[in-house]
Amino acid sequence: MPLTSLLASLIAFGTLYLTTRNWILAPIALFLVTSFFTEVRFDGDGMVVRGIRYAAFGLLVWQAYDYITSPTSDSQEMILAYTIGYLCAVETVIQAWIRRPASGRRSPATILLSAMVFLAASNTLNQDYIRYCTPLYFLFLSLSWRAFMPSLPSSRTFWKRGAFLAAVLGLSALVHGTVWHFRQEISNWGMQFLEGRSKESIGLSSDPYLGSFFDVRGSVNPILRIENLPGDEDFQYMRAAAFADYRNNRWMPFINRTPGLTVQPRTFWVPKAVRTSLREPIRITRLVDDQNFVFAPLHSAGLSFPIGTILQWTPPLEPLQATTDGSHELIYEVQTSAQEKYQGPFCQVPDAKWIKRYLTVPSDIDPRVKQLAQAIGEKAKNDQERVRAVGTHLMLNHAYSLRSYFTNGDHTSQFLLSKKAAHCEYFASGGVILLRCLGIPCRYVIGYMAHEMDGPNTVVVRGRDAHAWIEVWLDNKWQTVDFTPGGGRPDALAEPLPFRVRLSEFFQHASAWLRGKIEQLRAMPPQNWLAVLGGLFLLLLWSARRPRQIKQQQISFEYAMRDDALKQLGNRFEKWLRHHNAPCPPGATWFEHLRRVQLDEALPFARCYDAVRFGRADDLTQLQNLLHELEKHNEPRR
Amino acid sequence: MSQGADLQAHSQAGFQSAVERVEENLGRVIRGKSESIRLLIISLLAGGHTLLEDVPGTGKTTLAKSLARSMDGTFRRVQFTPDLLPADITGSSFYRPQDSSFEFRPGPVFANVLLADEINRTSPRTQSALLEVMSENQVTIEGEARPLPQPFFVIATQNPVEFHGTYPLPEAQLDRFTMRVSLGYPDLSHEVEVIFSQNETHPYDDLQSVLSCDEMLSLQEQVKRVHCERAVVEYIVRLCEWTRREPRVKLAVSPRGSLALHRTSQARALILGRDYVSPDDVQALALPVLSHRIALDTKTKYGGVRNDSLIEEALEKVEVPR
Repeated sequence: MPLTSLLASLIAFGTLYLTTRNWILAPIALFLVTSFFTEVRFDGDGMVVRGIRYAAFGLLVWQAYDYITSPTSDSQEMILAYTIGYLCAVETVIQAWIRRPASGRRSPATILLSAMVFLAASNTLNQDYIRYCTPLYFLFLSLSWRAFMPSLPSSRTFWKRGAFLAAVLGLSALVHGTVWHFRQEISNWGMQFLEGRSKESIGLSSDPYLGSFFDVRGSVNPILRIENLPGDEDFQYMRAAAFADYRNNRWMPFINRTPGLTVQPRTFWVPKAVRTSLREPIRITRLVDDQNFVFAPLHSAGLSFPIGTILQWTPPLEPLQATTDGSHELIYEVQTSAQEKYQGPFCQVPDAKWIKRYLTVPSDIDPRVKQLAQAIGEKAKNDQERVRAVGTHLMLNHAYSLRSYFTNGDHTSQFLLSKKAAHCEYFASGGVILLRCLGIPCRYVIGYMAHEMDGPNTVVVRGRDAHAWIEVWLDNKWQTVDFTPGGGRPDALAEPLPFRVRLSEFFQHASAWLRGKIEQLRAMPPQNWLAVLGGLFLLLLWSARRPRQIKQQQISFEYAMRDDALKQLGNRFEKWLRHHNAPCPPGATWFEHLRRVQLDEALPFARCYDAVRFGRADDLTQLQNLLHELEKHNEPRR
Repeated sequence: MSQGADLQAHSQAGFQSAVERVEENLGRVIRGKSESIRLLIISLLAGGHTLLEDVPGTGKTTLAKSLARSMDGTFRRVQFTPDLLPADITGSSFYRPQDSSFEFRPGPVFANVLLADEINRTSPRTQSALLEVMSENQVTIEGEARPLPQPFFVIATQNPVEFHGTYPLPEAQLDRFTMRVSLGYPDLSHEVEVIFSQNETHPYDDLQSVLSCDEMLSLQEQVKRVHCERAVVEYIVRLCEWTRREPRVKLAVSPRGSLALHRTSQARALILGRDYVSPDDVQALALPVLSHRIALDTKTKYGGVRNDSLIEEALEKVEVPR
């Protein structure tokens, strides 16, 4: 190999040593240097070279196995990168020591492998090494390329090409630097473009205000992914928070941010009597930390969370909130009972104080609303009929609209008295007020409606599925009631997803699936891993060798041979040629080959051999003498 | 040295001397093309026919005429034109009213050397008249097989550049040519010599015969006696077999091709002073003998692969016997 290539390779090895401090690089470098000072070469297909390569591959497999089965950490990744560097270093030495055909062209394999070594060494936190080693490495790398050119260009051409290369490298560095500098902005733009993420249109409010419009088109961002959701309509309503107090067009916040108040675990334990009627749990993945709300149906029997989840809840009304250790994704399970309208942890029996709150008609409300309520419930005989009457009145007399117009004053009263068109928040608020006027305790609830199937057993809930409805205390049970007309519910309002969002979600699903599979594979026992990797390795080996075997079978042929002694002489001559770094290609005659590689001293032998092999001559003595002379006097060529 | 070896050496010397005379004779007319001249002679010694394919004005017709004149046999020339008929080549019978009989008038094929000039300008019907002539050295007319004089040698010329008004030779016809030789343009110094040599008279006009037909037949017999080791024959067959297994080849080398390669290798070996064929002879002649016999599939042809490169690939890949 050229001296400049050797120096570039040694710099690469040195950089790897500075990074890893592994003494194994010293003998590797020594072997490389030795190859420069000797003409001895080995057969590339020999057992020694093959053995070294198998050992190197085994080391790589072992490191890869270690990386895959151990918990991921930065050091593991770096170790794998360094291992690849070591292997490239070993292969560099192998390439320097193996015999090359005497075709005159040098192989750039060594210099390319040294580049790989250098890259592996660059995977380090110590920038100083790289800063000082890089210019040296690139200097010798550039100089060594001249040695691999079939014909050296003129000086002018060389510098012209060099200048062009430098310009290309400089431009690449500029582009890379610019993209790197603005990488955060580019990433944000990409996220926004692909997912339509808009911060304003996700998230439920902790104190909902009854405004003049409802931006349901805002966000297709997935909020929840739900598996095993029962088909009952009640379970479509994933409640986040309930409100009892209304003032100034707003359902008042009730969240007492009592620090340190955590939930008692047994709050979520399912009572013994219910355990036999439990259905398969609903598995909910909360994809965004929307005020850390825990979303669950009203009739949940129990909930279970991963270890380490911090829960905060003050029943009966304060929303259940759960936080994790920094990850915004939370996976939890909701147990449900086959009993209809099961009264679980969210359905605590209200005492007199709470009944009073649930019946309070705010002072903001126009007194005429009470008259309206009485007119609606006049003919009803019981509370159920009253609830039905209120719902019928609202649905028949009010249209659904995402935009409505209100003047100063109480918006709910205007909605009810002027029969305005409005969105779900008004239907829910108006319903609560009317029911309270009729003496039925109820509360205003916000959450999401789960309606969009995303696979055979999975429902996805998006930001645009936000909804408001009512929970009524009726017949000593809390029940879900929704007075929003059908055309105004999220399932009717949902528009088809844009293609780019579907594409983005497809890749997200694929990525999540792959991660899941890798997790499963990690759980595989070590012996299974070894078996799989070993099988892969053998398959790779077979597929690499098979075409060569087929090719060799096709062209290899045992020609009729006159004499075994002659055959042996031929083999000795072939060995002599290999010793001189001039193995004869299978398709070339010795004569032609010797002339091409300028080994004229062997021509008499070739001539004599031809006469004996293909002609009528049969005297091997002269042939043996000629070969003996060749073997005795000729030194291997450089 | 044994008597047999003496005789052999003498006959070898005579052989080489005869070949040198012919080469020298031809070299006076065609300058700087010793390799092509040698190929032509090899083809002649192998008892085969030669297709000279080259661009106009390179001396194809002159070479063929010179070769014919170098031998003292009969020479006929046929200029192939689109209106040529098969009978114009083979001959035909015509009616004699005076004695109410038919007389056969032999065509130009009844000669020792037939020059078929611009063979691709005549219709395939007329081209096919040469099929029997070239492969069996006879002509069958009206059911009667008429042998051709010996030695019989066809030298055909064609211009590979023009396509208008030409008919490409069918593969069956191409296979009957032992070799396809191309002359190419002479180099600078030789072209200068050509101009000076044709300044007042043409060198062809001064050519004399240097070989008799009997001598030619004797030389051809000597070629047949050149030893060819089984391994070399296997090598020839392996080369041809490679073309048959190659998926890019639509029409591969036939056994006629392997026979031609064998015979021409023997001729070359004898010219070089050896009484045996070596793989070098086979490799040296593989291209001129085999490349015109194969046909590539359309995709390969339009992919830029030529017949020559495929034969070279065969030479690289097929192992040489050692």
